[in-house]
Amino acid sequence: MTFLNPIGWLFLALAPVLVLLYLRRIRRRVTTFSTLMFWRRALGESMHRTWYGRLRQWFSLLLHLLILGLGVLALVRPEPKGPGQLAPAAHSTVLVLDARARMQAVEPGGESRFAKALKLVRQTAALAREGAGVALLVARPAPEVISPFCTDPAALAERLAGLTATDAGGDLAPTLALARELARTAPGKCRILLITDASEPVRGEVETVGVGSSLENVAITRFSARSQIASPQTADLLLEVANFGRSAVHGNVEISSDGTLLDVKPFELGPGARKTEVFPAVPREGSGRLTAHLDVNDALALDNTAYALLPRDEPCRVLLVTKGNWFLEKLLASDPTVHFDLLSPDAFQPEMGRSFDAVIYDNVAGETGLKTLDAVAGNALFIKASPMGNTGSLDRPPVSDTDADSPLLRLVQWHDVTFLRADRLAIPALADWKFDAPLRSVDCPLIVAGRRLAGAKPNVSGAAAREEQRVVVFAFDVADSDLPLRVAFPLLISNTVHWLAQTESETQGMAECGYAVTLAPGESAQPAPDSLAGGRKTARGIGGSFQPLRNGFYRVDQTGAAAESHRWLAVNTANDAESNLQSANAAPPTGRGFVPKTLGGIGSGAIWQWFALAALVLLTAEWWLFHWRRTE
Amino acid sequence: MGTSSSLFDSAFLVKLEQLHLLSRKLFRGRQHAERRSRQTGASMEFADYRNYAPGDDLRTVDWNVYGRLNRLFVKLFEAEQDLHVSILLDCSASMHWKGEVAATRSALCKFDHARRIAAALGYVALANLDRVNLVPFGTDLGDDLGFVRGKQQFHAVLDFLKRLPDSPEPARGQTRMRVCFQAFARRLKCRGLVFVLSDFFDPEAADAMGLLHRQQFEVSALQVLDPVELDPGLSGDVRLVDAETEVAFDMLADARLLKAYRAEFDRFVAELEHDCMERAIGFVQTTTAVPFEDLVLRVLREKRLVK
Repeated sequence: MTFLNPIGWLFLALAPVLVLLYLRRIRRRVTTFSTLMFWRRALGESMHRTWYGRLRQWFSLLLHLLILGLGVLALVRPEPKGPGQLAPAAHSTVLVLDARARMQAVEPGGESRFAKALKLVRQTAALAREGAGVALLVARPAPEVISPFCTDPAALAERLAGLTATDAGGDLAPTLALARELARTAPGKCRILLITDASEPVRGEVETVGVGSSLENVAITRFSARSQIASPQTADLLLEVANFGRSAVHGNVEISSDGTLLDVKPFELGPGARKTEVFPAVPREGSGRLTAHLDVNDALALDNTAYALLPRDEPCRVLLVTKGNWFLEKLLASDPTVHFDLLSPDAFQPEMGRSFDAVIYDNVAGETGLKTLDAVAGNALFIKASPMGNTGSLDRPPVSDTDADSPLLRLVQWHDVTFLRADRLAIPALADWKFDAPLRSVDCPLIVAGRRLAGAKPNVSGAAAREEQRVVVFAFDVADSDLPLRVAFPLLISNTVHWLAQTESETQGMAECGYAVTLAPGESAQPAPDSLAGGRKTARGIGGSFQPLRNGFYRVDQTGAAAESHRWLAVNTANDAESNLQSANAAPPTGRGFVPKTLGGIGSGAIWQWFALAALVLLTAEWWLFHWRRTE
Repeated sequence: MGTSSSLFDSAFLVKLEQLHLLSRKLFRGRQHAERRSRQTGASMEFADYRNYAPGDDLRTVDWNVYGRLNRLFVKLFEAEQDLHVSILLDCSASMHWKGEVAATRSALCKFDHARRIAAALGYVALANLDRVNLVPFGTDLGDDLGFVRGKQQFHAVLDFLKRLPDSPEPARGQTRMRVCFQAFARRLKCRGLVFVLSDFFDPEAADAMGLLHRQQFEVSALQVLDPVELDPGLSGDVRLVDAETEVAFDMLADARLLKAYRAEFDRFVAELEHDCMERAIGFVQTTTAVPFEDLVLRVLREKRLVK
């Protein structure tokens, strides 16, 4: 048995004082009375009180000494542990604190879920001691180790200071995986404690502590701007509002541009309903920073405001390398969002691709010398011939599968398109490339879209994260089909060019909070001070990328040899899983629950709390026996 | 506890004089100090005739009868006999006890209050030409004053009362009213009116007064109590010491015990009053908070102890 706070033994010095006070008190007040005849008769009705009266003072002293002893035992914090030997029942603890956006939800008591979680973390951190260290991980989009195993409660408390929930969503799995790895390194037994509001099931030995209740919430789930080809001076805004509550809500949505109110629309949503609103003809003025705000009072405030950017005016710079393609040339020339240059294969140099947003290789891959994808610079569209090569040809391939969600095929109708022939593409297995086949003919891809990842985690939506490189391969020659005669042709080429240039009008300059955004060489990002709560700089640079942790606008400054410029980035949570607070985890911890452990369950070795509890019980009993009964 | 000199000061004497006047006014027309007896004597009340015998006082011959009948008859008159008023004063330790709580309500202990009442009763009796005796008692019967008569003897009554000790001898023991009253009955040859001033904290008090009643005494009991005895107001751990025996008794005074005490006290007083009523003994209960003149004039009259 060891004592973690031996200075507490000093309080035993109170025992003689207590006895002296009792000896002083036990001298009864002596009162002379004319006769004891009536007192004896009155007491004769309950003679047992006489016995009790004789012993009660000593019994009271005994109780008080016992209470003092238990209190001192609680103070010295005894541990059932021999010197140099780990207590068999001691536990190390890996605390996993959920710091995702939904943890900012305010509970009915006025306290946020994160604040409640932080209290529990502090309680557990206070139990850290030799042989039972506490490690702290924070679950954000990427796991973050706040503290490795630490046995000093003060140091843990210091590291907890300033910890806040982010506006980002994300998955708990990576953090829990890291917690399991960390738990394996702990000496002795170790438990993993996840403090979260989410009700998603957690696999394995992780104990879950719920800090949330089911709450009503309304959120902006989509907010984007799209330029109007017919009216280049205006844009259309798309706004989607969802009610994640069980009761109907109504309110107003306000649209602002650069802080100036543009429009206000009322909305009314039933339980679980969504509503999409279009704000047409929004003037494209100023910096184009758009803000949508819901004037509702719900549990989560951060998803009541969304940010978007008006599409940029600059057209995509496209290089068409062809031996002559009348349809493509006419099409690119007629597209106001594209500025293209024409080049023959003989004059093409591979490094030219870096100077353009996209390069279209019109069946000239062989002539340009691009044998592999690694040789390709910049974003590229290969028509027919490509570095992927082919394993044969397809005769009159029918269109069997289309990916309606693919940005390449948006609004493209394939039912009246006929291909004369196409190559049987062989998709290479490259570790840093990710390929999709949005258009297929049975088991053969007709269109392949590939993205080379920049090293950081890609955006969940696939829109905002700037990959290093994009490539699209058409397995067919436009001349070997009737595609140029169909409406699908300009749509397909326009979609492809803008996807390659990563300038899709609806998601241009948009990013999801918490995920890395790739920065080009010479670029640096910082939050716009007028758009983020508290003006905190929450974007953190990681090499050539940064991770925004708050919603709002970020200014990306581009400095280089050419003239300095900047662009804006709008960051939103826009995640149904974060906004839907109905499925919160409010259930008490099960199994080896958190609360008993926090109170120092016998199994955890923190038995001082049991002594304190016993002292409290005895104190209550003493009060009931000697004070409450006397005044009844 | 007041000293004897302050107990019977000039203010007290003035009150007694007023008491006498008030009593005369209340019972106007009555002859004082005239108590008819069965014996013939020299009073003014005619009783009978008898034949003249030589040696009779010629002044008692009824000459009118002699004129009509020519025979000598002498008139016999009822003998006038003084009333013997004995005031038995309890001098035990319990009578000297005074409740601490009642200090602000009454400055007198029960014994002082009883002494004042005894003086008042004695004064009224002496003013009525009765014979008055004061008999202290406690564990044993004390030396009495002896019967005195006439208002001029009141100073002897006061001196006797003043000489009674202000504080009792320690641990003399419990009051023994039965023993004391037996001794009193044996000591006193003539019967008369007996006032017993006591707290009657003796289980044999009723029997003792019944003994006097059987000995042809006309007994009146006057119970003097301290207000604290009616409402002790004790709480917590207390060591009670009996004022008479000095026996200590530890107890925890709570509301339940106080309630039981009051019930026992009321039961004792009720039984005492019932026993007195059965034996035709007048009974009055008073406390030291009641002024003695009120007691003598109002309470005693209501209880028909003073005619």
